[in-house]
Amino acid sequence: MRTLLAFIDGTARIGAYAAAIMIFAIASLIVAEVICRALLNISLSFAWEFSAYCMAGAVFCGAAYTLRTGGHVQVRLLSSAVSPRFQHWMEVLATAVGVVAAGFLAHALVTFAWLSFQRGAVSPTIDATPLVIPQSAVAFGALLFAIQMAARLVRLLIGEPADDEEPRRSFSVE
Amino acid sequence: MTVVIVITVVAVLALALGVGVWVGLALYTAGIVGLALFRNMPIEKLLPQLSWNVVTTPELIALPMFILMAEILFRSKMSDSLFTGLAPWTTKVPGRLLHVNVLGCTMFAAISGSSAATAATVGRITLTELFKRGYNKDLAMGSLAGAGTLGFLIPPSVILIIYGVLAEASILKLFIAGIVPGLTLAFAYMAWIAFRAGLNPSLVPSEDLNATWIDRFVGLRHLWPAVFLILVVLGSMYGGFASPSEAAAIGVVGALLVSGAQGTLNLDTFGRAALGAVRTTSMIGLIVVGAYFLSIAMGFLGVPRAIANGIASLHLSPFMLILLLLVFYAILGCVLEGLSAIVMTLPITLPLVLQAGFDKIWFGIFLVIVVEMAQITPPVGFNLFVIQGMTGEPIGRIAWATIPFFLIMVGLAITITLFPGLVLFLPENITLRG
Repeated sequence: MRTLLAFIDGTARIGAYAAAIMIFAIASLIVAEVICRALLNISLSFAWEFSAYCMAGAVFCGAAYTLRTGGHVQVRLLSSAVSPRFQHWMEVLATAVGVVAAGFLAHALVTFAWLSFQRGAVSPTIDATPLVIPQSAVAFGALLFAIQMAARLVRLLIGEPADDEEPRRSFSVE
Repeated sequence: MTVVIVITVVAVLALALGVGVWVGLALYTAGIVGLALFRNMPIEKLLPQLSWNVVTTPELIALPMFILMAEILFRSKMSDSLFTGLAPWTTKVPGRLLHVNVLGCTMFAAISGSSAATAATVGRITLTELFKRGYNKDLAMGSLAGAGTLGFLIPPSVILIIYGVLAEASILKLFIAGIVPGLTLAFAYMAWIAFRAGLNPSLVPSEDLNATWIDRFVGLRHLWPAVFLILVVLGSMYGGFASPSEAAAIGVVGALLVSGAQGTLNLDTFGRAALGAVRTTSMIGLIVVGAYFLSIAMGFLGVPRAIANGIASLHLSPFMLILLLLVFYAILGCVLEGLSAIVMTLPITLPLVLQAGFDKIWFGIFLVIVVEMAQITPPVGFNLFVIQGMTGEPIGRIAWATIPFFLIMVGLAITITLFPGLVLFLPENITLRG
């Protein structure tokens, strides 16, 4: 079980690195576009399109890691007013709802990417990018997110800390 | 029937949030439950398509760029250089170094789009210095919490980007509209600090801090990173050379250059900044997709129209409507973090406000001031958490110290309602590309 949880954490971290690379890719693409337009007077039409795909990929691929490190926003109003025992079970309930919601989201996004693949859907631009490529990244991220949510439920049930607090201390900008 | 739908959707949302379900997922859940119960629609097709559409909106690209920029600068020597450059200019004003909080936040806000990042970056050095020199703790923390919120109002602004995307308003115009209210707010904060310090000189230590005009101008050289980045980011946007997203990407390069020049750029800080940006991007992204899905779902369910009719039957004057919204958001802002509060209410409040004859750009600025208020109201206020993290003081004391600055914001919100020209004059009279 521990090995499995550690493995899931590993996938979340890989997702986060992928998301970080995509964010830097956006910066590079946009800067390249600006330079080309200003100096060479050519517009890199794909820069904006690919940046938008990277944005979509970054949001979803980073979601599992963000969940693991306690980065997603939760309302903790009620839970701070009640006993630790009750608080624990609220946490379990919230995470259980989270498993269902994130699971449905992952299911829907995977089907979405699969349908794009089957239909051979391409973007309505001159680059005609096969949409399955960026949509797979999004579906993959959503899947990692749902799995991490399930792992969180397991952690809560076996009494392990649900959030990895270490990065929160070093990333003080929220 | 619509009443039942409204109650169901609101109840599901409130219950999910109350239990502690993550905001983005709670928004999704409320939309899914509403559609599943009351409309016969292919939710599993609608959900991914809408999520995909909103998360690939080109304007949204500015978001991770500004976040990454702030993450890099937070790990540079930006805060030290702001303090050294600004401190000599405050020696003759009542309240002295306390003004560095406001001035520093104003300058950093013109680079960064986030409020908590502004408070954290500026406060990292000012709070230590102010405490060490024996300044009144409450005034030091309160002014930092208040001034930190300028990060949202003074462009660039993360909240204005998200509002622009969801409300389909020009982000550039929103950015221009934020300038005058932002500077007004900064000035009001400084006036309040000077007033308090003038009334009660014991708030400020009587140390002999003198600076000659030569010191002041020589000290300005420390401000080069801030001035350079403001020129790069705002200059390229207002010069009509780049769109907000492009300016943000150029800003990332600028931030890397500054960090490199200050010798703070290494693999460790770089990696931490990147992962920090991933966390914030993902956190905001999930809320934005969830909010967009819920807003479309509510449209299908006829919720905005029902509520608009309900409010219309109250026959409120436009001013009363805004006052009502101000109270509503102030209460909501206590429970919810500001961004979530805005995105989940926007589908209902935006049509209401437009119907009452207010401008879309104006309402964006109004909402930003409201988010700023939410940012410093307990129990959920990010800026309070940031300051708690830095000082270890209890939230209650920090919140208490922040109340005057909260009231100044309420004053500003009412002022711009009475005089919308304060917000709209600049965007209506400047025409720009983009």
